[in-house]
Amino acid sequence: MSLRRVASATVLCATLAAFAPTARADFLDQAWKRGNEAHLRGDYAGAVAAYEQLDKQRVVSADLYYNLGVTYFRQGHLGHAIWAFERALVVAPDDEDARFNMLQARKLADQRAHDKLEGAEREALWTRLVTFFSPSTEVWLFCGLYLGCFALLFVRRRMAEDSRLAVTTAAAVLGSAALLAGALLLGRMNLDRIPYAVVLPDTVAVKEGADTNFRTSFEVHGGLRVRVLDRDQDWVRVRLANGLEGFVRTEDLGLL
Amino acid sequence: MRALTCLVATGTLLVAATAWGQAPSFTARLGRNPVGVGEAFPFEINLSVDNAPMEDYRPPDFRGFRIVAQQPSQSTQIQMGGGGGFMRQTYTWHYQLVALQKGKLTIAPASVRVDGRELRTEKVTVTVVDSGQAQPAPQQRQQPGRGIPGFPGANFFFPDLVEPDPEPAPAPEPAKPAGRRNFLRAVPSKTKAFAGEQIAVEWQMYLTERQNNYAPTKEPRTDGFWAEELEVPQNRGGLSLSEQVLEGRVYLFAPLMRKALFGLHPGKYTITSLEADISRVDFFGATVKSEHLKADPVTIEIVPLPAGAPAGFDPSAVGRFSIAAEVDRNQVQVGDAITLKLRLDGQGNLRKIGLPAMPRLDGWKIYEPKLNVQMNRGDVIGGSKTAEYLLLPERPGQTTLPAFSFSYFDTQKAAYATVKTEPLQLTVTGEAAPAQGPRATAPVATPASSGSENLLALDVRPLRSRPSLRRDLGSALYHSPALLGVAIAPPLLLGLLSLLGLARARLGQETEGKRRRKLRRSANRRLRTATAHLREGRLAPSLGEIERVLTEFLTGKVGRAVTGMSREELRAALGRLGGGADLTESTVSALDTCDRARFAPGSINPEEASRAIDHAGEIIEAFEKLQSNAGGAA
Repeated sequence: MSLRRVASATVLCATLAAFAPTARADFLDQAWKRGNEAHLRGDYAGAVAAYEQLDKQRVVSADLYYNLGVTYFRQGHLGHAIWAFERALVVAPDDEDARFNMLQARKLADQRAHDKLEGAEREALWTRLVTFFSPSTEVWLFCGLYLGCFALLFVRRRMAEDSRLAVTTAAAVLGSAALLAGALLLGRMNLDRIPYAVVLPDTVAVKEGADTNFRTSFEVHGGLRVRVLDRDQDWVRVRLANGLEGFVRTEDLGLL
Repeated sequence: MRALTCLVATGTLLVAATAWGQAPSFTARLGRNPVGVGEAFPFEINLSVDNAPMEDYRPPDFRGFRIVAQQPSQSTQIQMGGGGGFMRQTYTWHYQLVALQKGKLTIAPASVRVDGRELRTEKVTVTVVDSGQAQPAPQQRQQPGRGIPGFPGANFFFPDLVEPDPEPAPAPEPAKPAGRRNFLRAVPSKTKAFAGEQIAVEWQMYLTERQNNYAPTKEPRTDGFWAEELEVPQNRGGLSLSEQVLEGRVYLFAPLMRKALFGLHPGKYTITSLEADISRVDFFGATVKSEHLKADPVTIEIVPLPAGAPAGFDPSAVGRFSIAAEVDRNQVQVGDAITLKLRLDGQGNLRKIGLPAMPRLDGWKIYEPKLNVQMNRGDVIGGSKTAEYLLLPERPGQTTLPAFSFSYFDTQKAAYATVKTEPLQLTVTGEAAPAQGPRATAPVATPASSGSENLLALDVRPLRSRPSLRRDLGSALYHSPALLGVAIAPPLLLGLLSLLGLARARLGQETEGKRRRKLRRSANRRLRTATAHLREGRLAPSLGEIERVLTEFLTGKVGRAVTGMSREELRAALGRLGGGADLTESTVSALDTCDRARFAPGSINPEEASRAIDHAGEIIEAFEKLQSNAGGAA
């Protein structure tokens, strides 16, 4: 292969690599605009379709979930709206608008039907600690501290013997903090192995087994948070905050 | 050929023309003969009359047969011509019969009275043979659930499904009773519909014999549709079984499930299969035979609604609707409430459809409506949706409640339609006073200008309409395997760098042997250069190289530069190397020769230069030998 060909191929690859993310970003922005415009002219179904297209592209965005929640709310799908606002809060726990809207949607859903869980246990301290920050914050915190610690260790290698002690101390401090952040991140990952979900339809019959023929154990209503323990084809085993368990259809839940 | 065609056509017209004005004909026709015991076969009685009244039809005596289905039908043929008009009525009674015993059975005549005259059909003799020996029933190209075989066009199980079938019929298959099998099927009312239009789908079970247990194992998924359950006829809480004939075979039939589906978006959507297990048990309850049944999936095409929707049209409003508004009274005192009922009736997706918005009324407080949906779940979803508003007048006067209008897409007319209520006149008497109405959970809105309490309903904060989507890279990284890379890469890199440093340090270390080899290599190189100069007759450069080789070599051996040393210092340093006086003097002599060549080049001849090169080589070898002996002794 001649040198010119190699150079051309390299330029082409570099161009593709440079433009591929841009093209994707354009596509996502167009879908975002389409959804917003549909919502503003009252075409909520069209807006949901556009936002869900973004969601299927695995775009993680508090804004996307927020708008999806507002649109579901306008459609009267409170379970879906609560789910979307909860997702926005998972991404950005300090999103004041999403929190407000989630509470409004919950209030309205409670007017329709309220699930009062007797003996519901408060979440463990560890769980609250782990979920205090958003996953994003935990990731940046960990990456910053961890990479900072190693950057200092790299620098230390090049430094004179007499100034190494200060750098070593700083690296140790950053390393300890990175360990803490890493522990939070690992805790969250462990927590995500048993994910939370939100009940989507207005009313869902929770069965004793993974089949419609099983007896209905109890009913839950749209917006209720549950833990997903297990999957069995189209069914999932869920646990309520008070420990009650049962099976519901996968499509009736929105995973957080 | 053309002449033959004209002849046939003329003959046909003549026959047809003579048919009108004929006497009434009353005939009985057997679908096939012979028939098998237990097999269904068609039987038809036909009456054709010219515009004459028909009465008192008496069916034949079907002794020895069981009627499993029957359906009357009527058709009219009219021809208008120059000579006047003809009208001929044809009445047909279709029967599906099952012979109960073997042998020659007779179907007695049927009778009917036409224009006061009694007509009778001929007796019909049916030969009944053992099951399986009779000729197979003619197979019609038939969609599931459509019509009765043997009577093309007759379709009295699903009358709304009659439609021409342009596809050619497949090759007929013999209708053996042994071919009967248990099966499930899904029957949609239509396979192409507008978005939001109602489609009824029924899942049916056909059994060849009675079963003890039925258990659905997988329910159909209706993704892409808004689904509502329709009622299914049940018999004392169980399945409602009845006999039904399908493709000439008698089955036990039971409807299992019915759903009304409303397509949400245009496209082709597949309703997945219903699956079920059926089983028979013996006297002791043990399963004797079980079978897994699966209905075929159904694909339905949803087409978009046509353009030209009226303003404010709700895409869910597809079907047929009427709207009405009424108040419990037209006259009211300030502070007393009026109840306004806004009611939408019709067939369509009532739960999803929104009612027209309540306009603002000056001087009235309007509370959040109480919504109520009454659904009829018979053959289709229909019913009513009612919003009950509480209106509280705050000052006296006349108010006109404007008409509520509701637009929908009429599927029967395939056009948009708008229905409206009448405007309502409301009279408020009494003195204007701050109203103390019943406490509402969420009032809609009250005019701010009235000075009264402005309660706002529960609502959410508005949409975020940034020009571009803001993504959360941290969360994306959290879900990405790249995070593992971030965790692993720095320690790996640090470890690699450390290893590399160690290796470099190790490689860079200069040992004694290495240093000696280096010195030796350098000395050899310079001696070769000196020899080359000598060969070309350049004596001074040749001896200059020899001087350099000796000073470099000796500097390396002594450990300090020998160029600045006096001859005495050099002798002392060489003496410390342990070479002896001879080697020392020989070295000093070689260096003196080189000095002489530098300051008096003419005093050196080529032989002397050649000897100096050899001498330098011997000195270097002697010192090397000395060093290696010292190393060996150590």
